[in-house]
Amino acid sequence: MTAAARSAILGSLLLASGAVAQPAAVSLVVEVVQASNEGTGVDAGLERMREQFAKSGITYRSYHRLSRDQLKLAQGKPSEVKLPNGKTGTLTLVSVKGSTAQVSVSLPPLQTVATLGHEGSVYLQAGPHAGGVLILVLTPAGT
Amino acid sequence: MTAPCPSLRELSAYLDGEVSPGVRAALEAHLSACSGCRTRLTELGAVGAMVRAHVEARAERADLSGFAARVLARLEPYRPSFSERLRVSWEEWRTHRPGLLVGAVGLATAGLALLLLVPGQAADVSERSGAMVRSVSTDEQAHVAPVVLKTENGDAIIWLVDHPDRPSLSIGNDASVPEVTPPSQPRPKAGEL
Repeated sequence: MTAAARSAILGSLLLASGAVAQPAAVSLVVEVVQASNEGTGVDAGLERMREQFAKSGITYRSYHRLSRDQLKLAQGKPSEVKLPNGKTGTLTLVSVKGSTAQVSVSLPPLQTVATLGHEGSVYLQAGPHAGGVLILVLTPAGT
Repeated sequence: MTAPCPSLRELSAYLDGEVSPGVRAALEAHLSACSGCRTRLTELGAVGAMVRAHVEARAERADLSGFAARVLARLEPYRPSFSERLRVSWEEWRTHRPGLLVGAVGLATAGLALLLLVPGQAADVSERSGAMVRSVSTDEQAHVAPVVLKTENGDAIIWLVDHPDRPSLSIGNDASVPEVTPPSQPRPKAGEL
């Protein structure tokens, strides 16, 4: 076997091992919603959120989406989300098991770890803002 | 000509009714003519009666309490092999419950086919359960406490409520978070947190 062939095989093995060891990643849709009792109106796509909140006993008259981004979370690499009230949310992918991902969210004073699958969103209260309250919405991309 | 005298064994069989009609007739003909044999037959019958009376008396005096238990204790349980049990079960089902057997085989086949042809249907329960909050807590200095609400659509709402008495309240741990109904008094209001 020539040196070139040996190098090619070694390179292939290294590439293969790199592919196997590549850290997991998931895509999340991150939305910032302001809920308020000042004013009325619910932005398109937030009717379901308002309904779920109302059924849970949290009632606001208006729901407005302030931002919507798709975030790719890589395992062990924190991603920050800046909120209009000055707070910063830090999202970290903890682990991926099958088709579910465990995501850690730090949104002072709140720390939480949630498991996200193909369905369901996590709504986190993110503090007051402009006469209402901010809500950070995490939804698996593709839902 | 007189027939020879019967033996004790033959007389005993006659007494017990164990001889054929022909032998009985011959014996009775002999007994009618032989006083010695009639005496032996009477004595034999008396001895038999005494023996029976003696045995019955002993049996009545015998302590038979626990007899069945002692007998059962001496019996060794019969443990058939797995293959034998399988064979017996199969025969019982085939003989007495053929309809159930066909149904069970059909169900098992259908289940196997479902698992093989529709992969992931049974395994993805967690996906259907929606978002799940594993742990939630607030900073030590924060005078708010988190409340986790699970909606019927599988969403999870993490809400903060005023909690002046305890700076921080953790709900759950790595295992799971119990569903918590929202506090009725006071309801969280916009902008008050």
